[in-house]
Amino acid sequence: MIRIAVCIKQVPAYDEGGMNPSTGNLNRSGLESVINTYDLSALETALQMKDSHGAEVDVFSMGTADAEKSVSSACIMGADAGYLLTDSRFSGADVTATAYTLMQGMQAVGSYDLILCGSRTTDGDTSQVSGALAALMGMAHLNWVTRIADVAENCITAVQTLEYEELKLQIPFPALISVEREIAVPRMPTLRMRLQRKSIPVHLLTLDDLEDTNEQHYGVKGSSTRVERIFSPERSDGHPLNLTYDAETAADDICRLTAAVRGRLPSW
Amino acid sequence: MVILVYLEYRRGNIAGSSLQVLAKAYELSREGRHEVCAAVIGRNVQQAASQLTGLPITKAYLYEADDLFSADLYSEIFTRCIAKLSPSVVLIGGTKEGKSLSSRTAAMLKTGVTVDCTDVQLRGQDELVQIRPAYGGNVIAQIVTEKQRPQIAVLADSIMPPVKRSSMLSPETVLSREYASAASTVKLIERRELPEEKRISSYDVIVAAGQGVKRKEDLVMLEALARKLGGGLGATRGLVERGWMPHARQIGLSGHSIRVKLLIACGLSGTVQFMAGVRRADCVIAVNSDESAGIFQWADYGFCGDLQVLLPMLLEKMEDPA
Repeated sequence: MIRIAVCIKQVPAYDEGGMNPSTGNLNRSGLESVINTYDLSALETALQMKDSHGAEVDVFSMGTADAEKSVSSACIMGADAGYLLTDSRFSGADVTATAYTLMQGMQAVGSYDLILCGSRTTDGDTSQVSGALAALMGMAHLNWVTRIADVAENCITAVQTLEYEELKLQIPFPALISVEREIAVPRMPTLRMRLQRKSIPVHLLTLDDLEDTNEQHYGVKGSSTRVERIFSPERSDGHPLNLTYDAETAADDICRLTAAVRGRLPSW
Repeated sequence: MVILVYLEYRRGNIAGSSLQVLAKAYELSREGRHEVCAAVIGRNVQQAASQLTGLPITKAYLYEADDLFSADLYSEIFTRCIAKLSPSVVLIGGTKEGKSLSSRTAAMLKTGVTVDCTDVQLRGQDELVQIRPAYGGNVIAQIVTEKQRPQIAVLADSIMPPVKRSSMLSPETVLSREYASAASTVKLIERRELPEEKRISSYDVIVAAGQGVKRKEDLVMLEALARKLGGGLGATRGLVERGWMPHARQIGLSGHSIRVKLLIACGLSGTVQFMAGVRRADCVIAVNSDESAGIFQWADYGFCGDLQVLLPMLLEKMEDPA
């Protein structure tokens, strides 16, 4: 039976209106925390393998104590065990420090044939932690996976979608794969699942539970990059804007405008 | 100081995105007479040498290797090159290959990596100031790699126009066959080119939909509008994450970059994340029910009101494509 570790991150439920455009301040109040949507697809991919091949699925996350609810929710969806790396000494970690912490956490728990991650997070959006984790674990990895074609005892065949081509690739275990959202539609935790699986505990791991207890390797101290400042973007204001509130007028104007633009286009 | 640029080399061609990264490297180098070097990895890599003529590179390191990009093998080669040159700055293009490569390389070298940089500038001796959108693309962060070297920055797509060639320049090339027969454990089973029409970046006219599009019927109408205009329908990250549009249609930093004659932005606020993907739009029409939506600051023409009211009218009035 293959052993799978799924990495998830709890993120704020941002929406596109998340910033006050005049002040540049984030509207964070009242925002819920959710599991990063790409990670939910990774979890679902693992759970489908569990359903069809009988895999064992453990979930790992790093975050504040509050992230326990996300790990717990992943367990309710079907993961066998949940591990939350939570310690104030982990906070402020950049890509490599985050990957290092996850590696230490996984190694403290056991060994895995396959690690599944989401292709990116909705907050950090770097797409870097998965590849960094794979490098630290010394395993090959694939990013941008949109389909699992086959799972065998010692390898997995997956489809990777790049800008201009799709590659079907076979990668031997142990391996790491980061998946795109479209790979799977995550199951909803139903009331029955909640009742049946509510007893699955989330294991909390602190720095003291890891093999490397040197705090210089974690969090802010273990990070190479530092955010010097955060600022709101300058908006373009050179444009004269012609604004209307009347739909009928707008429809006429847009027709005229698009016809004019189309007229300037070389070929149709 | 050395600035090392990774030049993506696929099927005998250096990627256009890499030539944009090189333009940035050249710009940085001129401020302090720094040296720009390049690494190229691939099959028959010697043929890349002729494509380097005229480029502002002092020395290019060519590594003969398997044509299939595999992050483990390529990052091993690339880190070897970095170890040899000890560059202060490493610049990589923000393609999927680039991002896979950068993550492993940074971890192996225990250094920092900043992706989707919309700008990078040199400060002081050799410090690279890295600018990128943060927190879901609503604000901009200025990031530095304090002590570790190299400083690895992955540049956003189309950060600069491609570098200009000069007939005066002829980079020295160094060929290595050390990895010619090295293989990744990743095996290629099948390769399929994606059909051209899937690429949202190939359109001159784009209708883009954001989270303000509340009903799927509206999306169907927007698609029809795009078709009438001979264009394509794109989406913001929010809408893609809602599962209403595929990632292939996503415009923005973590999606695709576009250069268009006409952009019709519907129900989207115009976050940094989205606008960073709009490299050029000669004419922007914005439709949003919120008068304070940032997109109106980019627009030439705006309709502040209900998209559901406007769309049927617009489709009825608009002529079919000739």
